[in-house]
Amino acid sequence: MSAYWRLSASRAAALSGLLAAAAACSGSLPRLPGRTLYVRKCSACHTLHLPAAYPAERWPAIMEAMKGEAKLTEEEARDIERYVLTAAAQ
Amino acid sequence: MKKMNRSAVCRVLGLLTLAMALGPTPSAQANERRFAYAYESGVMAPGSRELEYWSTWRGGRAEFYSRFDHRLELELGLTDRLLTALYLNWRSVSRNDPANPDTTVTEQEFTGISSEWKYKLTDPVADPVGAALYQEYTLASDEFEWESKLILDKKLGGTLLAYNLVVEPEWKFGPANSEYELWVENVLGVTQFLTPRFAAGLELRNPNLKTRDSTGLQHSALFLGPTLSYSSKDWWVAAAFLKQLPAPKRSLANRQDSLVLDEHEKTNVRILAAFRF
Repeated sequence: MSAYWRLSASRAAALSGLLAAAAACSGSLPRLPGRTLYVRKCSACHTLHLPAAYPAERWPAIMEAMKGEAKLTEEEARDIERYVLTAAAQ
Repeated sequence: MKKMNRSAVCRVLGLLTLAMALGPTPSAQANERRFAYAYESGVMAPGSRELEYWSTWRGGRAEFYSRFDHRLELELGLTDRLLTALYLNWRSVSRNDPANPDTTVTEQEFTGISSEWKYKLTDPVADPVGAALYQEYTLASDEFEWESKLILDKKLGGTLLAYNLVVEPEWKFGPANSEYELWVENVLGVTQFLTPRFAAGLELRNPNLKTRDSTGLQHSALFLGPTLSYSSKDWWVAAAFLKQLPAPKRSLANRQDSLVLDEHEKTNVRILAAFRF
C-alpha cells in the first residue's frame, strides 16, 4: 500500500472512529412494531423527533397535523402513533 | 467602533436572536444543509423539489487570485431513500495578467453540467450512525469528473456531526494530450443547534491530490473555519469561512511554502441558499 493510501486511510479511520464513538454514546430508536414505518415516512420530510421529545398527550395532535402532510393512511397514522407512545414510555 | 454604535449592534443582534428563538417551532427538513462543505445523509420526500444556489469564493495564492465558482442546482426526491439533482456550473477567475503583471485579467467560463445521485442507507437519529452513498458526474467541454462520497452523520441532542470521505478522479482532455488527477478528501463538520432553526459550528477539510506523474501525494492541504446555517419551512441557507492551515504535506511544486497555493487558496468562503417549491 502506498504512503498516499496509508495517509488517507488512517485519517478516514480516525474520523470514522470519532463518529462511531459518538454513535456508541447515543441510543437509537427502540426496535418495536411500527419503527420502520415511522422512520420511512417521517424522516423523508424532516429530521426525526425522538418519541420522548414530546409529552405523550401532544403526540395525537402532532399525528393529526402531520398525517395529511405525509399522506398517511388512517392505519399508518395509527401504527406510528402507537409506536411513538410505546417507545416514549420505555 | 463607537460605544453607541456597538450598543445598537448588540441590541439588533439580541432582537434577532430572540426572534429566532421565539419563532414557530420548525419541522426541520430532511435535506437542509447544516454545513457548506460537509454533506449529511438526509434526502427529500418523494416528489419534493428544491432549487439551490451555490457560490464559492476562493482567494489568495502566491500572486493575486480571486475566483467565484457558481452552481445552480435543481433537486428532486425520487423515493424515501433516493434523490437526484441536476447542476449548471460556471465560474469567474481574476488574476494577474502574465503579459503585464501590473494589471489583472478576468475570465468567465461555463464549466459544465453535473448529475447527482444520493441514496440514504441509515438515519442519523433512528440508527447508531446515519449513512448515505453519493455519486456525482460532471461533464464539461474538456473535462470529466466522477465524484463518490461516503456520508456519515450523527445527531446527538442539539449537536450534529458529519464526516464525508470523497474520492474524485478527473480527466482533462487537451488537444495534444490528456491529464488525470485523483482527489481524495476528508471533510468533517460539527455544529450546535442554538435554536431549532439556527446552528453554528466548525468545518475541517483535508483535500489530497495525486497526479499521474507523482509517485506519492502531490500535496495534502488543510482548511478550518466556522460554519453557520439557518432554516425555515421553505428555505435555508448555510455558509462557511475557511482559512488554509499549514499543510500536512507541502506541494511538490513549492516545498518552501507551508501553504498549498498552486491548487488551493488562503481563504475559501461558500454560501448555499435553497428554496423549496
